[in-house]
Amino acid sequence: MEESFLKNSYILHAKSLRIVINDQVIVSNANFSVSAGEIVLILGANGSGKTTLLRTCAGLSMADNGELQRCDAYIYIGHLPAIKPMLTVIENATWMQAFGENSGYAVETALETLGLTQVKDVLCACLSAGQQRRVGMLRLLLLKAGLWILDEPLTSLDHAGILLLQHLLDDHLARGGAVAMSTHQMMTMQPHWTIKVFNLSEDDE
Amino acid sequence: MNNHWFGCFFKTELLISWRQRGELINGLLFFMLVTSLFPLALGGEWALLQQMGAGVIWVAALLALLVSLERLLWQDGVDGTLEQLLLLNTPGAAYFAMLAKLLAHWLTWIIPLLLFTPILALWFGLTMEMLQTLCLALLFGSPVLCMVGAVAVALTHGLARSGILLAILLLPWCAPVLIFGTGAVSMTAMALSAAPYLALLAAGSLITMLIAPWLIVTTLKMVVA
Repeated sequence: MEESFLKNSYILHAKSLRIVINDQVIVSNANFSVSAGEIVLILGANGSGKTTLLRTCAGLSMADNGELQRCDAYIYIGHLPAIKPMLTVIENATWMQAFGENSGYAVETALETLGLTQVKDVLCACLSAGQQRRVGMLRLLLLKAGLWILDEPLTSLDHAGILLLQHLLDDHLARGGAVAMSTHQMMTMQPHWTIKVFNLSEDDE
Repeated sequence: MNNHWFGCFFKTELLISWRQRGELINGLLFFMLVTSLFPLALGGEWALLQQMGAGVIWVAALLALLVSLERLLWQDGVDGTLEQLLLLNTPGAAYFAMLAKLLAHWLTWIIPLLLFTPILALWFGLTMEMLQTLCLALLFGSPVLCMVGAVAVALTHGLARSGILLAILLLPWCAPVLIFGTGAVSMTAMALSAAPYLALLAAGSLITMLIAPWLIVTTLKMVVA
């Protein structure tokens, strides 16, 4: 990906990151970086600050101290699938395309890849949680981005959905993208990926 | 960004409002109910009703706005799409996306209102000229109310049961618009030109349209963090 203006061409770089919310230190000293083709797994027990860390990486929260660099074109998917429930699946797809540069993936093909062709004209409010998750994943296919920041992306997905996400991650990493992801399920990691791990539970002072 | 993203955001908001048109009726019904109470309560005092007509309609419009404002950001906050809007990092993209949202909301509020104002004007005995000025004043001055209301919604975003707080934040800022809006109709009643008042309202709207989206996006970024 063309993010060469970044120091050392890291797509996401965090150094000595310290995040304090409401006077509580959530993350005291985070250091990690990912470059093209790498994936960083943010691990930690429930409540250790994974979501806060990922939100700060995405730019939704501010860090109190430390350095954070990130490429311009990135996609953040948090706990909510971030879709409009009063739009149909295909309308959501068209709406998502307004959020960034298009990757060239056709909407119909993206729906087919994610197994949503049957429900494309259904209002998203009527879909199950797993289906809504898949609709949220449409943006990963439709938008061009160097960095994916995913907060527990396997939530609500069935086995086929998990394999699908694995496939998407594979493609993205092979094309030189990077991923920062938190998950509780290790089984989706492929052996040929370059995986870095950052464990929040070990980061306590 | 693809070329038509502003249009895309605008149309999406209108489409969602249309799909929830039952909620839009709420504001309109409230408007009509409130305005119809005054002729009922003030029976035969026609002169008084004609003097008050414009003011009552303005206040009722503002109250209808309060009713509809709560849904402006609530759904987007609940389903996560508000954060996606705030994450837009092309310069100005978040600003224009919010402007599109606000314009769509303004249209869904003001158009039913303007359609029903002539009927209400009958109840208050407003003349044709007064009605004309009133509609123009509503058209020019309502964006200010809507935008300031949206800033208040952004400030109270995420708070439960923020209805009263919203009203407290919003109403003082709406006083100038109410004064000029009713003043315009009074001028017409005295057979004078209302153009200066209308021009002031329009200027206020343009200025608020420039500033409000930026204020709202900045506020939401702090609230959401």
